[in-house]
Amino acid sequence: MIKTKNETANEQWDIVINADKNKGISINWQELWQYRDMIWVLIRKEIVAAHLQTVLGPLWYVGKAVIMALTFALVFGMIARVNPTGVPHMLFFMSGLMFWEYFLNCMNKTGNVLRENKAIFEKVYVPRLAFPIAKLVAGLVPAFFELMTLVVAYLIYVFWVGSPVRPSWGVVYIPFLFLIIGGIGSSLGLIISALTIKYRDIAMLISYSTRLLMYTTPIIYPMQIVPKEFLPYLSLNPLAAIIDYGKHFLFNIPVYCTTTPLYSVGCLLVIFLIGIFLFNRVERDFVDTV
Amino acid sequence: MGNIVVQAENVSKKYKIGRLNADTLKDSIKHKWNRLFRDDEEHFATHEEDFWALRNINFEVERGDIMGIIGKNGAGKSTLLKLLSRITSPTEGKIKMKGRVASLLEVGTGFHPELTGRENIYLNATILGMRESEVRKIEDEIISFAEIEDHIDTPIKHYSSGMRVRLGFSVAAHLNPDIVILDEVLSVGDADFQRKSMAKMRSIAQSGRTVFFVSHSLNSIQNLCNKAIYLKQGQLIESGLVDDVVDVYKSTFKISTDVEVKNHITFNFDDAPGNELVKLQSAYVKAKDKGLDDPINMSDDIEVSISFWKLVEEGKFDVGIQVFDIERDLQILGSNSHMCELLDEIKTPNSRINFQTIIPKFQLNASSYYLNIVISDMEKKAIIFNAYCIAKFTIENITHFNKYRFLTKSRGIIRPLLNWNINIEK
Repeated sequence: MIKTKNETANEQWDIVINADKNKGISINWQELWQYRDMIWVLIRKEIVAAHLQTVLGPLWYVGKAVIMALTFALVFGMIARVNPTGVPHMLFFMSGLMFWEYFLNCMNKTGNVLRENKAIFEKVYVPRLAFPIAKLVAGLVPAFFELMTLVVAYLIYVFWVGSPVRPSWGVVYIPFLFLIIGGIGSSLGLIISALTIKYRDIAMLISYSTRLLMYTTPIIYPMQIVPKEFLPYLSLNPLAAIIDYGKHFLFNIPVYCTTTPLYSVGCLLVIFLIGIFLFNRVERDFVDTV
Repeated sequence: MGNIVVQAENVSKKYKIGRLNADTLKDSIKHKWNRLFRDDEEHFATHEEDFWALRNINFEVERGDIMGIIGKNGAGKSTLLKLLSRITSPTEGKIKMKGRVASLLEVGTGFHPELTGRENIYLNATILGMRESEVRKIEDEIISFAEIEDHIDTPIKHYSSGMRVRLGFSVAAHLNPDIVILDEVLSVGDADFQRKSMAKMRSIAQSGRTVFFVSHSLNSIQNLCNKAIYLKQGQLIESGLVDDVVDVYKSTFKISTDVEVKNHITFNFDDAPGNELVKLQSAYVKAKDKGLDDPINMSDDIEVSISFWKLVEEGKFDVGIQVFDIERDLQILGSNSHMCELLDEIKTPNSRINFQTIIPKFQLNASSYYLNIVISDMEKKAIIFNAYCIAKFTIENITHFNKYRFLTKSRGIIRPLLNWNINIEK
């Protein structure tokens, strides 16, 4: 009799704080849903706060995309001549950079999430995963502007310059490619944020590794010019398929990558699970150690 | 049973001190290497030391309880608050709660300087667990309580620090949770706003919510709370009704003064406290015209007597007394004899001098007091001898001093008998 009473009482507790640290790779979706308004406010904060002090606001993304693509077009397209695809240099580099920048943005922002919001986490309980989610969504804004810049540049090349380049029907998949590459970036960010909490010198390693990753990703060169014996190895990079297929969809040029975006999705899942696992491990008690 | 909304079972929290974590990857690898291939595990183990900030804490809180948490610095109060607010997790045990919890350990959590006051209200309130639609409803209330109507659409980087804390407090005060965790630091701002914020906290506490309140001020605790828990070095010493717990806590203050201190004391010349200038011979506090051991009532004149040896020929020495309330550790009076000239004339070394004074009746409230003696050189303007807590005395609570009038202890510090004029208008 008493026992059943206790059991029903136990079910009524809304919050149970216990010593169980091993949350594995579970995500408390219900809690994230309860905090959906906060996530929305955080997204708005990210977007608004990034532009309040700048005169040009989001126009900076346009300028940055154009200037970076110009530099790359000059150095790698016209001097090093690494672009034999027939796609105009500007469009070629702009498309690669667009994906890369979004990836980098997601990874770096998520990687900083615990440190950046330490002041909040020390004073109030919020589901910490909400912050990377906000970063992921807010990062779509600059990516959108870069995509628009590419679209405008594309139109100029097609209708003004009279370039023969045309997209393939697969261009409708571009948003999915963004999701995959942003997901990989954010998942890596989760791993980084968990590791940098424990080991401060990881941050140095990360900055080297990102540079290395950029050179092994077909951004500043097409997969076309990669020697055949290296192709399978370079294709192991989950970003390679995304960018090679992205360019295939955008410019209807042949695919050289030996892996497909499905492989990238597989990698994304693995990295994501590792990321959640590590993040769960540190998020609860990291305020004690930092 | 069903009214219990917070239940803590064997809650413990362990911190590692000395070495919080492996600072660098290198350290960590070295540590693992040593573990695997060497036997000097001890070498590393000595770096780490366990520190239990909380140990086996058990308590239950019923709906509507206002629970004060008291204890000295480092007793584990903040750790308990952090656990209750889920900022960090316990090492052992668990805490169960019913309803929505808001922890207000800080005002303005998450404020972003580039955003306007209004945007920050939404940011802060949603971080504290509110829905956006709820914030919209009470937005105007928050703004007017914070008294910043004119600046609400200005980025808060242009706010004064006072405006920021007012806005932060205002958001916190308008939350609507079932369980509130309050830190005393919340009463903020200038004196005016402090009064307002304290009043608001009181009304939050009295609106039927369950509240945890941490403060160093026992007065605030007793004013606000109905229950309390007393922590000492991570252990729960006492829990229950607030007055009982506060009494237990207060009793720990007294220990240092309780040891063998009576209302009178006499020393032999050889082991008397003092220095090369003076030596204390004796001191007592008693009711005038009564014996040394008789109780002192409020209606008694209190006789204070101090005798000491003056060891040197020269010296304009003067004697002063300080009377402290033990419970409050507060000085109630201080007085000097102002007769140093007289003392200078005593040229015989080792002469014994007695000072006596009367603290008139109906001055001190019924309470326990201790006496400090201060002997100073008035010429050099320096204290030459200081006897802390040399005597302890208690003034009894109830005194009937004539047929119709009697005195009992009041809440005040002094209990004077005032002259009253009574006019009866017909």
